[in-house]
Amino acid sequence: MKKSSNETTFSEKEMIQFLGKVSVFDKLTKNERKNIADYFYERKFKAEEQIFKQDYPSVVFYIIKNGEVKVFLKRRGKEKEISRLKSRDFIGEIGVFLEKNRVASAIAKKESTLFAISKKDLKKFIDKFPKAGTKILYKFGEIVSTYLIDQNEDSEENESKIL
Amino acid sequence: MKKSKKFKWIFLAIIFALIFVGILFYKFIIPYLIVAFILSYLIGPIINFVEKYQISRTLSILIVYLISAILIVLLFYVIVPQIIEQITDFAGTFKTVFEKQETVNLQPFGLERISEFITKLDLKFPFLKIDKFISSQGEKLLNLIKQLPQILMKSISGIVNFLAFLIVVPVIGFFILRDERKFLKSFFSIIPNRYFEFLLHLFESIEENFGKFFRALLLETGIVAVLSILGLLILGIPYALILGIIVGLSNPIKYFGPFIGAIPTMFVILVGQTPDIFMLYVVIIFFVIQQIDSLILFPWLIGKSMKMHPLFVLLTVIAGGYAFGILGMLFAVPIVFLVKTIFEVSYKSLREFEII
Repeated sequence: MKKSSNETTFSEKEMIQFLGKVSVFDKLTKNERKNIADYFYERKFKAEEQIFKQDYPSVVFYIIKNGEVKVFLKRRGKEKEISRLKSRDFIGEIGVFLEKNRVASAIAKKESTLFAISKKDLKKFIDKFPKAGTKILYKFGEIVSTYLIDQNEDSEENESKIL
Repeated sequence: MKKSKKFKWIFLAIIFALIFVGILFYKFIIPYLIVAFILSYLIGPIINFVEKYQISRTLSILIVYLISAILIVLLFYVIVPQIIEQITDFAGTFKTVFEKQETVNLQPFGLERISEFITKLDLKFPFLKIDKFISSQGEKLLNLIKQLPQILMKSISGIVNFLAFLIVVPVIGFFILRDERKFLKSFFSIIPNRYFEFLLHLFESIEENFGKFFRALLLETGIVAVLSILGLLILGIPYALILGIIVGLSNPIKYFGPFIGAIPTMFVILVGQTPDIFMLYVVIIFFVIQQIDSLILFPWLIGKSMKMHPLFVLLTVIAGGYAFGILGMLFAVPIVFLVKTIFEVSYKSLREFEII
């Protein structure tokens, strides 16, 4: 399982099971997950392979099945790492909501498998299955809200440090 | 390393050879595929709608197929007997008249008005020799009718092919509709990561641009057909349904379509019981519909999605007509538009993804 999981493609059943463990999709019923699984493309990346590049058009949204992904910014020729992502994390969600090009770059640090869904297909899915779509959008809202609270707490901590 | 590269090239060459042989082998199927694609494109949205009610895709497709089949059969039961009756009537009068006399005279079979019209024309413009022209054409027609049984025999194989077409196309359409996601997935699974997002982007942009154009064209055709049917019904012209549909279908042929589409209506008025003055009324009604189409419908539905200069459109229609007749006139603009869209979108995406 350990090594061969990267060699073989995932069956539909495995995919449906896996999607249930990803925070954005964990509220979906099995049938709803089966429907959205249709829209995912499986992509395999070698270690150090570029996943996407800053300023390129943002076409898909990735969920990491296994491996490790480094997200970084390039400013004035300098690289600044933002985060390291592992299984069940996702990248490219900003592109889903904003008509913007990629704001950061991502490369695979290890051999990795990612599931990709295009922004347009995600919108199509939400249009077609509004109930499931609402659950997904609620989850995104939850994630963004949690992130905002964390940010506030961070800045408060910083303020108290200064004081 | 060197050896594996050599093998890679040999492998690529074999693949291209296989693709080439494949195209040669399957070339007769290409029209089936094109029609099936158009069919699946048209009923795709309906199937998506059915699928919303938690019905599996396969079942949704079968339901939509069944309903369409019932509708088509009903339509045939209502309209086709009428058409066949009319055609046999018409052909019958022609045949009896031609059997009785050798020289062609238009008067005996309810075409007095044409005859009168022609005599009048002849009096006014004697140099045109219309009478002679008409009778020579009539003789040609007569010969054609005499040969009709032979032509029919020849076309039996054509009919068989057509039936095969009618059966095979929905089957292909079924698989395209059911497995489109699978086809897309297996296509993109062989694309390297570097080009994955680029090609997906390209595919989606082309689909969006052309889809918009295609649906708008369809909607325009539908609205023009409905308006024409209503106009003809109000005037009380027979076969308003069929004539209106013909007007609608020929409407997408830019500039020439309205004239081509009006021919059958004029013919029906000339030959039938309707007084000739109705030709003027029909011209007025079609003119109004054309104005509605070109001033409101076209700019609203298509104008935005199709950025082609009117002169270019005109030339494309003429070129299409020269190359492939009426069908060429109908499909030239959409096909040229598709090619133009692919080219523009590819160039833009290639630049954005820094491939060129």
